[in-house]
Amino acid sequence: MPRLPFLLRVFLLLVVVPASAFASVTKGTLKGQTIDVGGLSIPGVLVTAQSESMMGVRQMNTDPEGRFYFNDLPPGAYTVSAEKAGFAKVSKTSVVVSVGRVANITVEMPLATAQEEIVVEEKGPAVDTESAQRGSVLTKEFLERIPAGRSYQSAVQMAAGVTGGANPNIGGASYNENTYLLDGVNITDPVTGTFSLNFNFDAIEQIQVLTTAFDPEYGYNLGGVVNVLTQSGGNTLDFVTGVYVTNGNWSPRLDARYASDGYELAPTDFDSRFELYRVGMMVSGPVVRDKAWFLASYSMARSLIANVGIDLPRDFDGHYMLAKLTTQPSVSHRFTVLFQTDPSAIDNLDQGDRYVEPEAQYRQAQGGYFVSGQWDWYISSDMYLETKANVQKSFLEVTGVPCTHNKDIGYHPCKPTELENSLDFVTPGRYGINNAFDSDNFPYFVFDDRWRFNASSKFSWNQIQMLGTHDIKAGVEVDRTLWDQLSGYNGNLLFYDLNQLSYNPDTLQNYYWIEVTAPYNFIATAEHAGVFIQDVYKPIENLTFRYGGRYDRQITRNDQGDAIVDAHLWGPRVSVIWDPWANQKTKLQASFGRFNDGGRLAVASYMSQSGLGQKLTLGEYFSNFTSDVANNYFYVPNENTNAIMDGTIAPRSDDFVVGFEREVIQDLVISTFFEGKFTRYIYAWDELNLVWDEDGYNVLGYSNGTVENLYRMRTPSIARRDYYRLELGFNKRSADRWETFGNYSYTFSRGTVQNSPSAFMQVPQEIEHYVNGYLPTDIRHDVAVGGWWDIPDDPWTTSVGFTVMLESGYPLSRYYGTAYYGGGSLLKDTRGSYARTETWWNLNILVRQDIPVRKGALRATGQLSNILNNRTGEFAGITGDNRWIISSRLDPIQVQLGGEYTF
Amino acid sequence: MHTSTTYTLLASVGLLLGGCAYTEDALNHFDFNGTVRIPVEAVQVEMRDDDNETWTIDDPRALGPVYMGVFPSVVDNLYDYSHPEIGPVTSDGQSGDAYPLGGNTVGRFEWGCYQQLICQTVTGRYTSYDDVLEFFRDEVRDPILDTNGQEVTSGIEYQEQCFEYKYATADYEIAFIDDGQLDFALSSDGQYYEAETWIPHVPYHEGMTVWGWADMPSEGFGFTTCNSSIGENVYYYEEQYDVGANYSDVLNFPGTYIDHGDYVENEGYVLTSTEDEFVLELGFRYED
Repeated sequence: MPRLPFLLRVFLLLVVVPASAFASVTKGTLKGQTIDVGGLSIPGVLVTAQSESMMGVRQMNTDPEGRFYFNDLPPGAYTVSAEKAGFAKVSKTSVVVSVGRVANITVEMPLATAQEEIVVEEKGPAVDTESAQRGSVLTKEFLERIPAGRSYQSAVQMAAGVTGGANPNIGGASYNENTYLLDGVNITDPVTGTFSLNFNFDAIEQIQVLTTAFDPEYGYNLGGVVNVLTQSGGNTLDFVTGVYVTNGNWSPRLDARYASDGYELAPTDFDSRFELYRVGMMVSGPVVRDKAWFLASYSMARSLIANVGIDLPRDFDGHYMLAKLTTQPSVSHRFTVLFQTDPSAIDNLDQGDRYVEPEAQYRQAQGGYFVSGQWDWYISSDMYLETKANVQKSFLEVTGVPCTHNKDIGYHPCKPTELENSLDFVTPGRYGINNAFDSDNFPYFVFDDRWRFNASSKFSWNQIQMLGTHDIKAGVEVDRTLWDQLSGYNGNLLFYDLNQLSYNPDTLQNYYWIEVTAPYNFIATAEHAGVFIQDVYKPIENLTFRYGGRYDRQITRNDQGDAIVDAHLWGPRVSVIWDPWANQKTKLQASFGRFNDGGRLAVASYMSQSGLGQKLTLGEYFSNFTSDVANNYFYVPNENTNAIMDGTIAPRSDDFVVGFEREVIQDLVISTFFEGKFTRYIYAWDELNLVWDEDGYNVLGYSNGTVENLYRMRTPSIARRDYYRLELGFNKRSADRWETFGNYSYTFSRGTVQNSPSAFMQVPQEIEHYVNGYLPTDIRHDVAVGGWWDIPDDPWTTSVGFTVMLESGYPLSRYYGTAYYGGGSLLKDTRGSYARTETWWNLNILVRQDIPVRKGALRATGQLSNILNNRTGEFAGITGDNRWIISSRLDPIQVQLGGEYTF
Repeated sequence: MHTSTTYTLLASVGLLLGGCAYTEDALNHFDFNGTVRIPVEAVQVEMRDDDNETWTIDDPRALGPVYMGVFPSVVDNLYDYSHPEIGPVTSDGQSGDAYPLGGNTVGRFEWGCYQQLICQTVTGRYTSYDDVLEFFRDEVRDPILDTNGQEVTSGIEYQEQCFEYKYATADYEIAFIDDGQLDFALSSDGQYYEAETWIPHVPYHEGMTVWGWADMPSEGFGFTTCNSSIGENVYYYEEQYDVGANYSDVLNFPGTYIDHGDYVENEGYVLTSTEDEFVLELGFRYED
């Protein structure tokens, strides 16, 4: 490729990048040096990199110091060949390039002999002595061999510093403060801040989990980054299909656990149900060899889960489709188009309370689609431009389902004249005991659409020689997100029948009802523009400075178009990485980064100025009900008096990391890191109108003389989290037949607020109790250990994988009943001072058996999850009487049997 | 090389430690500290039983809750005592509305674990369960009875009752027992009972006035500011009742709740800066 004039490079850096749009993180770097047997560098060597994950080859001649450098390579296993007249050709195979990492190899070339080519298998150095980011890269080969749950959400749990469930807490942050990327594109739910897409596990090439110290190009969130990279096909036609059946019904049951007074602390497992069925297929291959590849993937997942005492299971049906077309018309240009959709439906959704009877059917339809286009321009051997544009729509619809022809579901069969799933928005619904839906119609409906439009561009200019070597990246990104929700109650009315007696709306007996205003629609929007620039500076070979920063402007608007959050966010990041012996076996690191939270649409919606108005009428059942707060009739207008305080500051974290990594024996790396993360200005709201007594127990009066709440959104520094984590880990990789990893984290997490927006300041006196309490992320001990072993009996290869996961309990706070809010609960003690949940751990094993067949490859798998049948609470918490309970069982022993055929 | 790297690492550790040193910034509201004083004679409460026998309690444990509010102004022409300025009277028989910009209490009603003690026990007045038993037996002359009608004589029995009904596991969770410093202490000159207090989160306006009163018990040891029909609900086998709490508009309609024997702030403490420390002297005894 011709080298571009300097001025053109400057032009690209300053003009083309901002004018185009965007940034993503989907590539890795392969670099190295060619030397002779005496250790002297060899200039002018033709180095070729090729891989099944890359179209064509990349080539360059080594510089006067024998160095070569391939930037922005698709992740995968590479073969690097070096050839020069007078020297033997040397090829290194299986060099692993991972997303966001640098594989630095040395190619030793002996003088030419009779042997034409020397082939060496080398997966690359075990310690990446140029990267600062902490986390894990989970490859397809690794995920296939360990019991990872066949979902990227479960696989993320393998990384150190990750706790919680499918929407994990990373680095002490809230579950809704992570960023989820698909092929480097932000797919985070713009409303909730959680993951928003599902897709076929087999289509995943790598999962990158970043917990801290990541570069500016990854974004500006307070939590971690989960970056899922999909496969792209290749020059061979591949077909993979698999069937997986998971069943927990046969698991030995655990009986209920009771307190000494008979109070149920954990429910029995008997009568619960857990079934999961998954079918997947994927076909990929060339349209034109080395010019155009395709990949099409489909998978279906159906789960039937019933909590104890519930006859009919929650029925989840999901269909995940992903299609990808990659073309490379010339060696410099590649175009990728990706389409993904995941329509799903959940019938009989309400399983939260085992007393709820599903007489009135309740369905949630969800999913969406994602379309992305990407242009990769390899401008020269050291310059690269990536440009993307994408649109994503997610939807969520909650409605009643009057009848079904599905006899398996078995309730409310359709009458001959009834049309299945015909929706009735006129007949009011009715709540009975424990909010059981004891009417023919479900009470309310929600139609929710969420959009994200994104465009971005990233430019990298590598190997700039100026007092050392610089690799510079810069990028720009623009987003617009939108939340459009329509919700209401059928017939604008809702009956509550506390005794579930026969229903006669002409009398007032046994009922109360709420009249609501007409369905209302609100739209919240946000605009975001961000730029970043970063430099990897190596003044000498074994010292790396990674520094840079990003600036983001985000404006989040409520339904009136008011700018609820208008944030200017500055995020400097700097790391120093030192390889003291310059042999890629040791890394010492110190990093600092500021991370910001621009706010989600949920924050804006809290400040929306409209809502459902409600008018409550109490019937005779409540004739003895007296209250000076809410009499037998009250009215809540459909307007919101919430106000945002001037001078709000976007939440931010200052994160400090120091650490050490060392390859102690061949490919076995041990590491220890310490992280301190200090988050301030978390979104919090308080109430302005109520005056409280000295304990926040009861109200003394109303500032405006009216019984109403006036809320205010603020970002005080007292709304904070302090997070400290010590990490110890080991990682044995690159062996042919086995790998293993393990990490342990010891964590302190204290502060006032875990999630945002938070109500922790609602009662002023309570702030005294909140300061510096332990937060739910104060999980002291977190362990993830795993590994796999291929038993060499080709072609009948057997692979055994295992994981052990452990999290010690998290803290719970005590509450007391208050005279206000109808006897509700307010915080009693310092956050987290009361008790901790029990330690949870499980052991999982996966056995994979290759079965030789005449054509293709057949593989059978069997997996046992939670072999020791440890009880995990799906929900654990403090009840109104201050007992901590497990409300339902999450994961009994499960067996998964599967078969996979590859052609 | 080694030196510069060492400095870099030390600087990073310094930054790390520095990160712990955050300070709170202003929340754009102000907390006012202050003192409440009640004359010693205020705790002399006239009592009368069903047989019309009278006696006097002279004991600070008889003090009811002290209500404090920060009001736009306080005037002396509405009642026989100073009172916050009120809005227009909008309905017959009802006072106009006062508008507290903030407020607090010294002591609050906290149910004493037995049904007979609804609206009778106040936080910050008792040091132990035995203290409560002794006060109601010897001073109020209404011994505490258990659900079987038997007098409770043991503090341990009382503690067990509280733990059972309040789901408590430690004495510090029983709010009306305070083995530390009680709310009020005798002043050095012996003229007052004094309590240090504060009023949190007040939006400051120059000239705003702190005012308040002490709800003193009636002859039957009842309190006008307590509503026995609200508060937490007790569901314990056959027992079902509310434990009582103050009316939630006592600062909006103080005149409605101030009755015979209550001690009222003389004129109110005018705040002239956000640094002011107020003193409330509840020196006026209201006699109707």
